[in-house]
Amino acid sequence: MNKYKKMAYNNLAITVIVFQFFTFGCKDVIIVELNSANPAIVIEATISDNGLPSRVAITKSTDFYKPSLYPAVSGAKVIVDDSEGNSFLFTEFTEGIYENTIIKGKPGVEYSIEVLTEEKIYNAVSTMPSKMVLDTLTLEEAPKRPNRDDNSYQFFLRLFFQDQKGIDNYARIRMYNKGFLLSGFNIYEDKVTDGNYVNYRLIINANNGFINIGDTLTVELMSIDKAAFEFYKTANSVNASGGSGRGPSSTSAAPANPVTNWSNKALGYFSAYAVSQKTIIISY
Amino acid sequence: MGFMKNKIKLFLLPIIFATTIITAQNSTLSGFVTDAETGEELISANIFVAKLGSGTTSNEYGFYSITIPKGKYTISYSYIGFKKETLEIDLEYSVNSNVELTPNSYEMSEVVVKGKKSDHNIKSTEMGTTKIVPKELQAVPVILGEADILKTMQLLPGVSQAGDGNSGFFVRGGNVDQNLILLDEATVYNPSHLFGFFSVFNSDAIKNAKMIKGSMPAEYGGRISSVLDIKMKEGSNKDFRFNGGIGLISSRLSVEGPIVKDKGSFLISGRRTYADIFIPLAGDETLSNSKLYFYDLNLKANYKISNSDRLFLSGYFGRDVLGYEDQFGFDWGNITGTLRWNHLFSEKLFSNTSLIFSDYNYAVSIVDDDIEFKVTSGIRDVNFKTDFQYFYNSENRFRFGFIGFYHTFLPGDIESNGGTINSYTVPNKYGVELAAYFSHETDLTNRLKLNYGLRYSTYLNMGPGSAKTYDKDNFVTSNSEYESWDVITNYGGFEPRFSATFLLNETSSLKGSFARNYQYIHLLSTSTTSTPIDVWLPTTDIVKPEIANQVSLGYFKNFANNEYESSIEIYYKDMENQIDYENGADLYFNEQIESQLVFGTGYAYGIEFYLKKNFGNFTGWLSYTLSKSEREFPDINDGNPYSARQDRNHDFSITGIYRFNKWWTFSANWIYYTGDAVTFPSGKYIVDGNTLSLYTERNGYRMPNYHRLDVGATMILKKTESSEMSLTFSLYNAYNRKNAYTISFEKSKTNSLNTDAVRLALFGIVPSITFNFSF
Repeated sequence: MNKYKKMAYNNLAITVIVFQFFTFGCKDVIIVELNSANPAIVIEATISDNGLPSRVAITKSTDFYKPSLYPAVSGAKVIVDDSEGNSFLFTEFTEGIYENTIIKGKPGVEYSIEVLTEEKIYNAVSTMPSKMVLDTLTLEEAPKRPNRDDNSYQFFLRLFFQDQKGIDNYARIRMYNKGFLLSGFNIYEDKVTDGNYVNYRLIINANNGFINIGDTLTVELMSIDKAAFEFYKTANSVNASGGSGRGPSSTSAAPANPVTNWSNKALGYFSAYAVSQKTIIISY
Repeated sequence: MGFMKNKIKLFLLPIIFATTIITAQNSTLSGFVTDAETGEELISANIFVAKLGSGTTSNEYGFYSITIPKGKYTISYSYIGFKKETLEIDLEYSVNSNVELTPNSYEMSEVVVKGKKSDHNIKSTEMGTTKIVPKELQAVPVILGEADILKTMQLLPGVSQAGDGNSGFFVRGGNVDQNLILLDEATVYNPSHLFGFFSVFNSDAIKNAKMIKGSMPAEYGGRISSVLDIKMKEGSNKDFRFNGGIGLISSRLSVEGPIVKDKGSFLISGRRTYADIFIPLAGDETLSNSKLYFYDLNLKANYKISNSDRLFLSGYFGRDVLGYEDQFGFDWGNITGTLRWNHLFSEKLFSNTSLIFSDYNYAVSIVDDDIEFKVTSGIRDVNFKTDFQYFYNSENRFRFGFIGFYHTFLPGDIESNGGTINSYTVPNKYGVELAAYFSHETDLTNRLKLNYGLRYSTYLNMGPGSAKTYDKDNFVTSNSEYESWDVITNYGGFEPRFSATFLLNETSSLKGSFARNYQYIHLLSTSTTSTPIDVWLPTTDIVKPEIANQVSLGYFKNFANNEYESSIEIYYKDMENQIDYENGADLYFNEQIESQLVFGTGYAYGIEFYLKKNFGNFTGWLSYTLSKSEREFPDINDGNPYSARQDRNHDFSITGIYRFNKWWTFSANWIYYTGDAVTFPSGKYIVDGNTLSLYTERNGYRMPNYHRLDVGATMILKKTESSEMSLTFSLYNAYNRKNAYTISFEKSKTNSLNTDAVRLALFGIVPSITFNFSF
C-alpha cells in the first residue's frame, strides 16, 4: 500500500512539475504571523528488545519562529509496569532524558508507563509485537527521475522480510548514516501484503551533503504496535523535517497533532518495539 | 452589406393549427420558441401579451403555453441577443404557434441597445439564480484561453472558487460536494480535469447554464448548497456547421447538422489537450515518456416525431490520462448518457421522461519489477425521471414529477497480478434514492407572485451489505449481514420550498424564499482542492442525511430601461449532519470508513450585491459578497465553533467587456477575496530528531488575501454571413501577483535550526492566444 501511495505521489509530483513548466509556478519563503502557543509537554518513550537502555525523553514545544531548541523537562518521575508483574523506576540520565537499564524488552509483553511531572500524570500502554526479521537489504541506482536535484544520485533501498500471516503487522523503518538518525517516519502495514514475503522500497537521495557515496547506512526494521503506527502515520503529515512525509501544507484539509497514546493531552508516544537491523554501503 | 438585409428580414414562421378543443371563455396559445438560424430551442424566452400586461416564459425545452380570454392580441416574443418578434392573433380557438427568432448581427446591436431587455429578474420568483449562455462568457478572459462556464460562475456573488485556477466552487459557505451539477439531467460527479484547472464542460457544446444558490424550486433536490443545471446544444437542424478553436494547450472541434431538415439534428463536439506534446521541451528525457492529457466528447441527437413528441439522446465521455513509462498509469473520467422523451398531452400539459446513466471512476495501475496491480474505484447511477408541467392559465402553473436513482458505490478494488501485493476488494454499497414533488406558481395579484411546493425524498440503503456498530476506539461491537435487495436502513423527509415576489413598481421588487434540502450522498476528501481519488460515500446507518434550511430575502431593481440590473440578497442557512473525519482517518480502501467519521452542524449567512450592465458597447458586472460560514463538531476544536475552510468574509469581483469597434473587443476582470480559513502551526516540537508542527486550533488562521487581474482581447479576423474567424488573447494574472496556492512549513534551507513558511504560487502571469473559427 505504502509503495502504491509513494509512486502515486512521485508521479503527481511530475504533474506538478509539468504544470510549473507551463505556469511559471514558484516557491518562496514568506513571513506568516503565527501565534505563540503555551509550551506543550512532549513525551517520547521507547522500550526495545535490542539490549540498549529503555529511554524516555521529555521536552516542551517552542514557537515556530524560534530556533529549534526545545526546553528539557527535568525532575520527572517515570515508572514502567509490565504484564509479568515487574515494576521499573527510571532515573534522569541527562537533563530531560530518563533511562532504565534493567528492562529487557520481550515480544508479547504489555508495558504500562506513568510519568509524573509538573503536578500532572501521563499514562500510556504498549504491547511489544512479535518480531519481523529483516532478511536482506539491497541497493540499486534508481532510474533518473525528473524531480531530483541535478547533482544528486537516487537509489532504491529494498528491504526483504516475511510478513506474518493472519496477524496485523506494523513496522517503522529507521535509518542511521554514520550514527546520525535520518529524518522521516517510514512506515509499513500489511493491509494488502498479509502473509507475503515483502519487498519494501525506499528512495535514498545521495551526494547531497547528508548521504554520500561510500557511507554505511544502518537500517532498522522496528515491529511496532498499532498505536505507534498511528502516531508515525499521522506525524508524517505534520513533519517539518521532510523525510517520507509530504510535510505540513495548507492543502491538506485539516492538519492536526498526531494521534497519541498518552493520556492527559501529552504529545509524543510510547512504543515497545522489537527490532531487527542490517547495514549496507552506499555504492553504485 | 447584402447579408444585412437577410438578417434584418423578419423570420417569423408561425405554424398555426386550429385545434378542436374549445373552452367557454379561454383559449390557449402554445408552441415552441426556436432560433431561426439553427432550430435550437430557446430557454426562458419571453412571451408577452401587451393588452393584458402579462406573459410567460418558455421552459427548458423551449415550450410555452399561455391560456387567456378569447380576443384579439398582439403577442411579442423576445430573447436576449435576438430580434423581438410580434404576432397579431385573433384568439378564437386554441392555437399552436411555433416561433423562430433571428439572432442580432453585430451591425444591428446599435439598434438593439435601444430595445427593451427582459425584466424577468424583477418579476420572476427566482432568487439566487443566474443564467449564463456561452456567448456571454466568450469575452471573459480566462486562463490558457479556455472559456469555462464554471470559472465564469465563480465571478458571481455567493459563488467562490476553490483555489487558484480551480474550477471547483463553493456556494454560500457550503462544501464542494453540496453542489448538484447536471449535464442534460445526468449527475456529473467530478466536474474537473487535471486536478481542477479545467472543467469538464466544453463551452462549444453548451447551450445554457443555470445556477441556483440554495432556494431551489421543488423540481430540484439531492444537494444542499446549489444546483448547476447545464444543457447541451441540440445542433442545428437547418444546415451543417463547424466550429472550433486552436489554443496553446488544447484544441476543440464541433460538427452539427440536420438528421432530417427541421425535424432532427445532431451535435458532435470534441476537445483534447496536448500539454504532453510540449513535455520534451522541458529538456528532461524521463519526462518525454510521460503522458498527460485529457479529452471530452459530447454527443447529442434529437428527432421530432410529431409536433407533440420529440426524442433526445445525449452523451458525455471525458477522461484524464496520466502516465509514466509503463510503470505507472492513472486515469479518471465521467460518462453520462441521457435518453429523453418530450410529450405534449395537450396544449397545456407538457411532460418529459428521462432515462439517465452516470458513471465516474478512476484507475491506477502500477507495474514494477516485483509488483503489478491495478486499483479502481468509482460511483455509478441509473436514474429514471419524469416531470410534468401543467399550464392551467396565465396566472397558474403547476409542476409535478418523480425521480428515482439506483446508486452503486465502488469504494475500491485492488487487482494484483502477482508480486508482493494481495488482491483486495472493499465491498460495493448500494442505494435507492427516490423523490416526488409538486409545485404551484401563481400570480395572486398583479403585484404578488408565489411559487410554493413540496418535495418528499427518501433513501434506502440496500443490501447486499452489512451494518456495523463501533465503540469509541473504533472496534466493531456488532455486525448484521443483509442479502440483495434487503433494506438495511432508510431515511426520508419532506422538503418544503417557497418563494414569493412582490412588485414594488415596474422596475423593482422584493423577494423572499425558504428551502429545505436533503442530501444522501457525500464526498470525502483529504485535500482542500478536488482530487480524482475522492471517495463518494452513501448514507448508512451511521452516516445520516445532510439537511439544510435556507431563508433568503432580496431587493431587485433595474435602471435605465433595464440597461442596468441590480440586486441585494441576504441569506441564512443551517446545515445538519455535516461530515468530517477523525485525525489520521484512512479514507482509501477502508471497509470500516464510517467508524472514522465525526458529525456536526454548520451555519452560513451573508449579503450579496450584484450590479450588471446588460447592453451597450460597454457591458459587465460587479459582485460583492460579505459572508460567514462556521462549523461546530463535538470532536473537533474541543467542540468550539470554527470557520469553515471556505469561509471568506469579503469576496469581490468586477468584470468589464468593451466593444471598441466591429473588429476589436477588450475585456478585464479583477478579483479580490479574503484568504481562506486555514490551520497553521502555532509552535513546533521534536520527536526522534524530527521537527513536528504544533496545532492548537482548527482553521484559526487565514491564507493571505487573494487578488488578481486578467485582461483579454478578441480580434475578428474575418466575418462573413456564414463564417467567422477570430483570435483571442488573454493575460491571466496580469500584474503577476504571487497568490499563495499552498503554504507549507519546513526546515529552513539556510539555517537548519530554523523553520520557514514556504509559499507556493502556482500561476504567475500566463499569456495565451487562441484561434477560433466557425463556418
